[in-house]
Amino acid sequence: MTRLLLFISIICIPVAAFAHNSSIGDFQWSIFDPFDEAAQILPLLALALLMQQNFPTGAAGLHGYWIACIAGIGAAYIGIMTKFYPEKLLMILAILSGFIATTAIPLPRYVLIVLNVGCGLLSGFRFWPIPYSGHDLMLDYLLIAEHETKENLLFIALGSVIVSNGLILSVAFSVELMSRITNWPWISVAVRIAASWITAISILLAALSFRTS
Amino acid sequence: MRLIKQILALVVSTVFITGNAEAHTAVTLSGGLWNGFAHPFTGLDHMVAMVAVGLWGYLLGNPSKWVLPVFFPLVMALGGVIGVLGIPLPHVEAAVAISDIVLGVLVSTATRLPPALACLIVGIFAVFHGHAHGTEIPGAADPVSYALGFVLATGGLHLSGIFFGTLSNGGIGQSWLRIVGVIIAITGIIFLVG
Repeated sequence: MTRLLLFISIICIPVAAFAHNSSIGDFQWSIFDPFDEAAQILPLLALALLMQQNFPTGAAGLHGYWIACIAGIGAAYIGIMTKFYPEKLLMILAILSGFIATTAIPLPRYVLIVLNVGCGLLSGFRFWPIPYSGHDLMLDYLLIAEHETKENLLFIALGSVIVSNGLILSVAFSVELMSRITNWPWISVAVRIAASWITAISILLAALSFRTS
Repeated sequence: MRLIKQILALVVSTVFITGNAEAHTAVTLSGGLWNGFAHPFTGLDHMVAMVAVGLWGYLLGNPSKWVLPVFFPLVMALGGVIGVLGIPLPHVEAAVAISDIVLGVLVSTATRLPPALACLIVGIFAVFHGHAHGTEIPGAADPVSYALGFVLATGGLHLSGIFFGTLSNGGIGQSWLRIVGVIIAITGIIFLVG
């Protein structure tokens, strides 16, 4: 317990406020990027639930996700699709994936891979830390981003790829593990209820984004 | 005693964790999440209807017990879209009150219907509940968080209805469920005539 207290007090050392930081951020900050917008996290959660429902064949989809993610970042790196706004498409993908998870239809492997590749590609565009990718449209951010080297931006984006993959894996595998250990039949029901909530939230957010645009 | 002291120290140190300054919280998930979450609880007519859906689902048994809490948020979101887009629906508040009356009667009489019919009834009411929520979303400080909050709260209320229904398995049995159903129906009547 004493060690735990020491550990917590080290972790919780107060740090300076970051209200107007003068840096685009670094690898450490990029790991939070997948969590900072509902349009990004909802499709990831929906895909994780789909993967759990279709385990173990669904796990193949993750390979599609991370490869497509890197491809998306690569496309942004070489200057392709830099003015593409993936948020709306990500919301539509969240609705689609969430609805399939709600109905719990067994899916062929290729459909899962297609969904994961789609999400990975769009996420890759979004993870590229320049305003043209559709997020962080603050002028300060734009000016700072233009002074960053492309290699540094690439490094920052890769942090988001790792974390988003970790998120899918941790959700899918923890639910699957719980299902196997407890053998509790309600877990599959809980997954479907969670998927319906993700779908409902995504539908509303998609409507909001289309209304705004 | 030593363990209690250590746990107390842990709790105190956790409570007083110093976080970063959040100068512009309205653009993050802390902006409207709580308001959205609180919204179904602040309107009694909405709240009792959500609980009634869970209770009725429990009384219907499998598969309706879990199909209704899955079906309701989806249809409610569609109603929410109509509200977000500013498309008017007639007599929304009256429809919400009628949903209380109908669901209250269904709970109190423990009416058993096929799942498809139960979904149809619940779905019609869900559109109106969603519309009532949806019209308020664009005006929220942080619409994204607001929507997130009220969907989670709605789902939680359904689950609480199922939970309360499960409690009726022991003790006084299901007779209190019928009383709750009557109270829900009376609440609806008060809102309808009030």
